Amino acid sequence: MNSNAIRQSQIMRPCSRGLQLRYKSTKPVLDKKRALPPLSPRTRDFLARLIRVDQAGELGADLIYSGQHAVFKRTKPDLAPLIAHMWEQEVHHHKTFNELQATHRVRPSVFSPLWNVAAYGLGVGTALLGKEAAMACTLAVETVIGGHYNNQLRELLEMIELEAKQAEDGQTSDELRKLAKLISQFRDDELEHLDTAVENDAEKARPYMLLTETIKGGCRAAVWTAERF
Amino acid sequence: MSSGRFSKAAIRAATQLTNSPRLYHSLTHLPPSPYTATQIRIFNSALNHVPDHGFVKDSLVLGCRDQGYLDSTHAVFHNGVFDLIQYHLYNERTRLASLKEVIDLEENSPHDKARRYCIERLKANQPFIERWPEALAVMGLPSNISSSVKELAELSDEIWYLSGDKSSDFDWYTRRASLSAVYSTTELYMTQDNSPDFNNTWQFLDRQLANVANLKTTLGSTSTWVAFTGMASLNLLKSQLARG
Ligand SMILES: [Fe+2]
Ligand SMILES: [Fe+2]
Repeated sequence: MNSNAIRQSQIMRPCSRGLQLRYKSTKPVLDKKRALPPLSPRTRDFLARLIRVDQAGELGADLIYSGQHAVFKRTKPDLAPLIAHMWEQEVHHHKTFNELQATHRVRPSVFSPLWNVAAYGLGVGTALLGKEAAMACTLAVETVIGGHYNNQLRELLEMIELEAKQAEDGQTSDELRKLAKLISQFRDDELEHLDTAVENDAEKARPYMLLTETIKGGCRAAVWTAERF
Repeated sequence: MSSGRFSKAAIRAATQLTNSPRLYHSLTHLPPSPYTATQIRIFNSALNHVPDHGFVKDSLVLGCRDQGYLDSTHAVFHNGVFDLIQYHLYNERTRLASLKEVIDLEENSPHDKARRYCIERLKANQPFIERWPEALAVMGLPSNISSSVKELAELSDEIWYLSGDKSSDFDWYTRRASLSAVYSTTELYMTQDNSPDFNNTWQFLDRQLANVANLKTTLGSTSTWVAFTGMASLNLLKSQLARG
C-alpha cells in the first residue's frame, strides 16, 4: 500500500505541512467547578489504550531512526541529514505522547524496555544492511503506523460525536478534538516519511520485500501488544 | 522483613496497576464518583463512631441511625465494615488533591512532595490509630486482599501524579511499587508508635524512603523485569479474556 492509498481512506483533511502543533494542556489539574460531566468508561478505556500504544509506537520510531542515524553518520554521511530530519519529527511525536501519558495518567506499556531494545536494534540492523534495507524498514513501519493513526482517528471522531450526543446540552470539551487534530498532524508526518522512503527507491529493492513484510507483521504484533499491555 | 519479601510485595502492588484498567484522566470532564450523597453521609457518621466502637458492624449501624435510617439499612453494604474502610481509603486518597497548591509552594522536589503527601495521608488515620490494626486485619482477609492491594496501588499513583512525576517508561512501575512498599510498612509502624506527634513514624518514613534507592536497583534488574512483566502480562491476559 502506498501513501496515496492511505490518503484516499483518510477522514480528515491534512493540516498544512510544516506547522508543528504543540500540545499544551489547558490546566495542570482538573478545575472541578468548570468541569463537564464524566466521560463514559468506554471512551476513557479507548483513550487510555490510544495514548499507551501511540507512546510505545513513537518511542519505537524515535529509536529506529536514532539507530539508523548512528550507522549512516559513519557509513553514508550524505544520507544522515535525511534520516536526521525524520528522526527530529519522531522525537517531537515521542515527547508529545510522553506528555499526554503523564497528564492523562495513562500507564505506559509494561514492555517499554523491550520496545527500546527491539526498535534500536531494528534501526541499527537495517542501516547496516544498507540504504535500501533502511528505506524498506521505513516503508514498512510508516505504512503500518499511518494506517494505524487513520483507524484511531476514525474511532476517535466517532467517540467525540457520541459524547456530544450523550451530553445534556450537546456540550463537549475541546480536549478530545485537540487530540484528534494532533493525531491527524502526526499521521501526515508519518505519510511524509513514507513518501521519503518511496522516493529513495525502497520499493526498487525487490529482495527486500520479504524484509518489508516481516517488519510490517512485527509492527502489527507490537501495536496489538502495546495497546493491551 | 527480608528484602526479597519486600520487593515481592512491591511487585505485587505494581502489577495491580496493570490489573485495574487505568482509565484516561480528563482535564475537562469530572471523574465519576463511586458513592452517592446518602452513602457519603452514612459513612462519615459511621467513621465518627470508630474511635469508640472500632471497625465493626456497630459503627456502621450507628452511622445509619445518625442519618435517620433504620438500623437494618447497614445491610445494603454487602461487604459490611470493609465497605466503610474502602470509603475511608477512597475519601482520604482523593482529598490529597486539595493539598496540591500548598504542597507545591512548600516543597521543592517530587521526592519531597511525595514524602509530604505520605505524611498528610498517614495523619488521616490518626483519629482512630488504635483501631487501625482492626482495619488492616479486615483488609488482609482473602476476599478483600485484591481490592486492598489495588487501593494501595491507586494511592501511590495518586501521590506520584500530584508530586509531578513524569516517568514514561518502566520507571513508572518501579516508582509506584516502591512507594506502595514504603507507605504500607510505615502505616503499620504508625499503629505501634507512642512517640509525641508520631515523630518516630516520620523518621521511620524517611529511612524507608532512603531505602527506596536500593529497591529501585533491585526492581531495575533484568530478572526482576522478566518476573514482573510475566506477572503483569498474566493479569492483563486474564482481564482481556474476561473482556472478550
Ligand atoms: Fe511518529
Ligand atoms: Fe514516522
